[in-house]
Amino acid sequence: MHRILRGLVLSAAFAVLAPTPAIAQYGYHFGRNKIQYDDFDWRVLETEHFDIYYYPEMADLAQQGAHFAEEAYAELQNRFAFALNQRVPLIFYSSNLHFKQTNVTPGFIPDGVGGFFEFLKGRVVIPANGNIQRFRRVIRHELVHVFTYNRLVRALRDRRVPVDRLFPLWFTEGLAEYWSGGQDHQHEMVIRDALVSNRLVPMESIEAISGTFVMYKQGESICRYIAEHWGEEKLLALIDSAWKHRDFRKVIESELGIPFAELARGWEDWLRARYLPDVAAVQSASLESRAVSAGGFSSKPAFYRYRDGRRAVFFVGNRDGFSNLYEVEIDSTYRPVDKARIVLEGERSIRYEAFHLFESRISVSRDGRIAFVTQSGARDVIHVFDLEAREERPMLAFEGLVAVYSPTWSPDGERLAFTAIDESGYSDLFVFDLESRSLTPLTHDAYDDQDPAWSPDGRHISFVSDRTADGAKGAYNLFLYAVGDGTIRHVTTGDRMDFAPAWSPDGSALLFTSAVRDTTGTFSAQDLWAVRFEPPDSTAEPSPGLANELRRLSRFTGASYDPVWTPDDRIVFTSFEGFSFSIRSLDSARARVDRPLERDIVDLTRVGRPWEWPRRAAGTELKRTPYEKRFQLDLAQGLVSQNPVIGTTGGAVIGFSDMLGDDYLYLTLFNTAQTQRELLRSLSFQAVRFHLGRRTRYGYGIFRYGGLRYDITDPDAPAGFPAFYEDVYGAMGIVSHPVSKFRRVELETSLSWSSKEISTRGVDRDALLLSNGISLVHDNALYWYNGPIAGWRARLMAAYTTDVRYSNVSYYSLMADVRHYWRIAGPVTLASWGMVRLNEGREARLWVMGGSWDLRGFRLFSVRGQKMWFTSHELRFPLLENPGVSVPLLGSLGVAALRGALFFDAAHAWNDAYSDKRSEINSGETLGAVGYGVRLNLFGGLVLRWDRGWRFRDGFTRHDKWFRQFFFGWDF
Amino acid sequence: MGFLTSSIRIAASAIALAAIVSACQVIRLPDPARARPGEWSVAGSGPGRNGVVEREIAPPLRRAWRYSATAAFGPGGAVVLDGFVLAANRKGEVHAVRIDNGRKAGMANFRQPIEGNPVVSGSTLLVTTAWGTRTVQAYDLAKGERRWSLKAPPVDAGPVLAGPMLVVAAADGSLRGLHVEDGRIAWTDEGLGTPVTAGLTAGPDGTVFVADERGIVRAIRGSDGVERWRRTVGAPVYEATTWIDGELYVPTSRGLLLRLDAATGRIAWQARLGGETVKLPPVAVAGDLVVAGTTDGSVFGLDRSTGAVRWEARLEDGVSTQPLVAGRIAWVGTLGRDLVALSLDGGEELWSVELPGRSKSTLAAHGDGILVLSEPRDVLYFVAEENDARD
Repeated sequence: MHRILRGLVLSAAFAVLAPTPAIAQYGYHFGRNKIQYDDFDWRVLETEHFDIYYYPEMADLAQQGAHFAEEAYAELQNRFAFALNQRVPLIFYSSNLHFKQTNVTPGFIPDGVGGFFEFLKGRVVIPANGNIQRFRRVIRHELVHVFTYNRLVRALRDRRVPVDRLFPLWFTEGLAEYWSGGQDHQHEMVIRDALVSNRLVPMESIEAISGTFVMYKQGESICRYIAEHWGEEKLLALIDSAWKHRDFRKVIESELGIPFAELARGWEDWLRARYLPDVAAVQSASLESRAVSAGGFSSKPAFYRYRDGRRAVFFVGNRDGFSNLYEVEIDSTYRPVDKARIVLEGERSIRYEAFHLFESRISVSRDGRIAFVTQSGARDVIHVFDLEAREERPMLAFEGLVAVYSPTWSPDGERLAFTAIDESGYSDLFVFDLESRSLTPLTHDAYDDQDPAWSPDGRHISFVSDRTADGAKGAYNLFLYAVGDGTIRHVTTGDRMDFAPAWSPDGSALLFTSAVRDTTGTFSAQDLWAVRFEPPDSTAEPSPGLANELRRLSRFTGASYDPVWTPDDRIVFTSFEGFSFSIRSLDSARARVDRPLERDIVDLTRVGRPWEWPRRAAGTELKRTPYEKRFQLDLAQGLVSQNPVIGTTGGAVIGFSDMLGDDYLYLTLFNTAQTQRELLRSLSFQAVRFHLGRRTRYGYGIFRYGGLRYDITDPDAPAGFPAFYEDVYGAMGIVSHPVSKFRRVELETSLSWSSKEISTRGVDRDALLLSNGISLVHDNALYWYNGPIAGWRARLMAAYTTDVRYSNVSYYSLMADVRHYWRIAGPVTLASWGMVRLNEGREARLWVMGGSWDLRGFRLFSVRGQKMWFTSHELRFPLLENPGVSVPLLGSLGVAALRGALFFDAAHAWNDAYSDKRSEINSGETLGAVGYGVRLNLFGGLVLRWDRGWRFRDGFTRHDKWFRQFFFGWDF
Repeated sequence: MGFLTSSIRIAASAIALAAIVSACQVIRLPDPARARPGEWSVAGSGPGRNGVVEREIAPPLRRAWRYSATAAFGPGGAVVLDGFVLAANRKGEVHAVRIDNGRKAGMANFRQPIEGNPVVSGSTLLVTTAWGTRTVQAYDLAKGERRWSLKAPPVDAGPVLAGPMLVVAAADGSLRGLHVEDGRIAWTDEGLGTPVTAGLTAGPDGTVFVADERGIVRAIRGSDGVERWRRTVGAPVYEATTWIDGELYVPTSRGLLLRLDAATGRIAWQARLGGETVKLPPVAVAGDLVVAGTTDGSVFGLDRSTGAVRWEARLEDGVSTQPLVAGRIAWVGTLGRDLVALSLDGGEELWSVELPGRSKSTLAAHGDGILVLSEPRDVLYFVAEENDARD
């Protein structure tokens, strides 16, 4: 297929097939793969205001979601004094792993994204995660977005103001958090820590943390402050007044009647008054405990003592952009003996595709086998790694279970208990026997059961659940599951967030974390607590009907997670402080339990009944229909371009897709006529359809290209000014099959009629061209602000193009493009690139090179040849990580990652003879460049590049000249 | 010469076209000073803003016509005068529409969004805008030209006539009394520093009632701006109060409705009609019944003397307009794009019709019909099915 047309088609293909923001250089691309592992049988549930898309396995959960959606709609209609004019499409997934497969958005969805609302079709996409209250809250949160956006649009359209502005993210997310429910314990944790560690981001520069979890919580806090001081009505007034100013700060000033700086100060003072008075009574974890592993992100610790006596703490963490399983060896005082080292690398292979850093604990058996969970393909799996033998055991995957969390070993090491979510979307406890390979559910209901921990005597499994009277408010309590008879008993009760139980080595006590809600609705910090089972005898059964005394062991400024009680009478836990997660240890665990900071009695005679789901009354069944694919218009855009060579061209693009984003149709029309007589001859169009709903993605289309063309890759075109006439009619097909998230195979084929005319060269050629190609792509590169910084990627391609009618064209193409990124230390990367490309045969096309993106120092695409090799090596390092600059007229200018580079480029292009020089296309000699440069990321999407250096010819024997080059584009 | 002739022809055509276009940019009514009984000179039928007409407008209704006014409307309703409806939109235009056939009779452009209701005094149309510098303007409806304009802060609240005085509350809370004839400022009150969004109301003695977003209600003498009393009602007020027979009804944005003694400001009673997030549009008082809607979908019939709930009607969507009471029928517009008729006796829903969009502007009555301002930008006239629009 001709290169320009191929580029047009593949640009469209790239937009829908390539999931990550990779660079489509030379008409091809890299990128990881978003894989449709599951074949969802979509249905539609219609309620009064919503069309709910779900699949049969999660029908019950969808029904619940429908109820929550209508409930939220009624409340938000009242809050906003506004109703929606159109039905809202809600797309539900029963787990996060299913959610990650959605085609509603082309990009990857990381862990921690609870849902999203998109503007194009007004779709709301929400995953369940086993927690019904969380599901309800996320539905409400996203519907706040829907109402906010629609009310904004109405405010603008009412006054015939173009809908060309959106609210800053802190406001939309803050409002959505504020109006989706009360302050949760994570909100308290983040705000308290920000204040105490002096990391609160001022309102004036809140854009610097745009998109982060902290921004959500600060935004929520700001909205709450405005509501408490000016009334909730003011939040609506801010939306309604968006038409007054493009700058939202001015809208705030206009509505609140005070300068923005005064609002910012008032908010900070208000926060300090709320939280800082308590600081005198709390302690800093970094002062009270010992660091086991600090730096980067570290969480979910587990302890093991090797047979040779060495002690080690294991955890999951992220220090360099990839999540890994780490080990840090410690001495008897729990000081690290050495730096933490990687046990298993994550996010670079399908085996350890993704860790669930915040959700899944790890566990080490008495004989040294560590169990942990990662995503591996379509499912979560449990990995078992023998620490003594340093060997991986076979993965454990479970039919019907999609997401798996927090495995815990039985004392005899023969069973694993864990939490899992099946396709229904409900989370339950399971036990897997490694010997018999049997899987036994311990619970089977709609309650969210998490964090199992097997008692040292094997008779109980402690866990947390919302199967409690306060569960309707989002509370979680501690429970015991009796392995013998399956009975479940409360250990704690009340409006608390109890998590992560861990047994003492003798089984007489349970450690856990807890945040308690007071009568004002405010949560305490999430601290370490313990409960002792009286009498302190591991054979005694904790009985119902008694009161349990809960003992507070810590009162930290930040929050504590996932404690472990080690045989050395120490507590190892994750500490959140200063916006970072680190592993820390406390000594004298037993003494702390015996002499706690606080005691709280919970009366287990008053546990009440667990809360129940609201059920629809009999006879009020909702209408359910199979999903019917219907195309809806996504975009209709006119295009005009002015080119100094071609002149003015004009055209249009129209795009359609279905509601689930599985099917796309693009129509493109444009014209390059120079005169009226050429109008029909220069008319070009293409119609392409892509199917993305299955694991193997494919597309097909028809096209016609006509008129004057400027094609520097055509071997017949004059070198100096390669413009000529060509008419092309044809059809194309493309198939992309992902082998894994990191690797895929692509097949392309096209059949086209080509009629080429170059009068200055006496070329008048017809051909019926058949072109077939196959590519293998690998990409596990880690992207940062300006481009990849770790991992590697490669593309191998072979293709053959032939004229099946006249034999005027016949050539094969081969290409190998390999790029490797060696992260030397921290933010310093050595990037290396090797590429070989060749076209051989009759009318073989030219490859092109030159410019800031590859061979620097030479003009863009000024190096051409049917064969070429290229190599580049670049040392990338930071200059300024994240400066922010405010420019009065332009507002805040988001500037990120000012980085430097030292580079070396070399290339050689040739046609027939390797050393046959043709200066007009810079072929036949080895060219190169050496120099330095800077890169700057603007607004998170545009990378500016400036390079300076020496240019060389004749195999680096001749210094050609100095050069400076300024352009845009990501690093290779 | 031929070129010159064709140039002159082109110029003349352009001038004629401009004249035609500009003729459509004025409002010139035949006899605007002649106000007929039952016509609404300000939203809610009069300075007291009580949405009640004596004659019954009973369902079913049919839509007589629909007029597109190029932009949407604020909460202030339309003015009906001399067989025309004057509707002010958020693009800053006032459209004059013939009620008999729904055709455009003229349009005047005030260039900035108009949030509050326009007011008519004699043949003068008085308009306030929510943005710009000259935010109070007077327009001569007989001559079709501007009479005067005043430089003042933006105005969100609908103004009110108190005798010969136009009283305007700016968004910053300041008040001004202006002479209608020439726009001279008779008095100024700096206000309490709290924005005023709720439309102003006046009693027949010229007392003007102002309620602000902090929930402070003030009675101001319209002739000289002297404050007679002020009362804190405990919740923000964003919607117009209603005056009738010495009683002042104050709807708040926190589910609370209060009745005050208009002479003293004393709270006679207060009724909780919803939770803290429920907002109340202005109420209508008909006989011994107070009709109040809420944004959570209720319409209440309250005992006028005690505030006790006599009946409650539950609608599918929130009520966004002041109820219009016509005889024994209460009409409300909802956020769900419905115009609903309720029986005043017990609140039963009698009839409803779907509107093109939400209605959040005050309804107006004319003849045996109802004028509705609906999103996205429509003026609608509904008449009884057996009647003709020419009545």
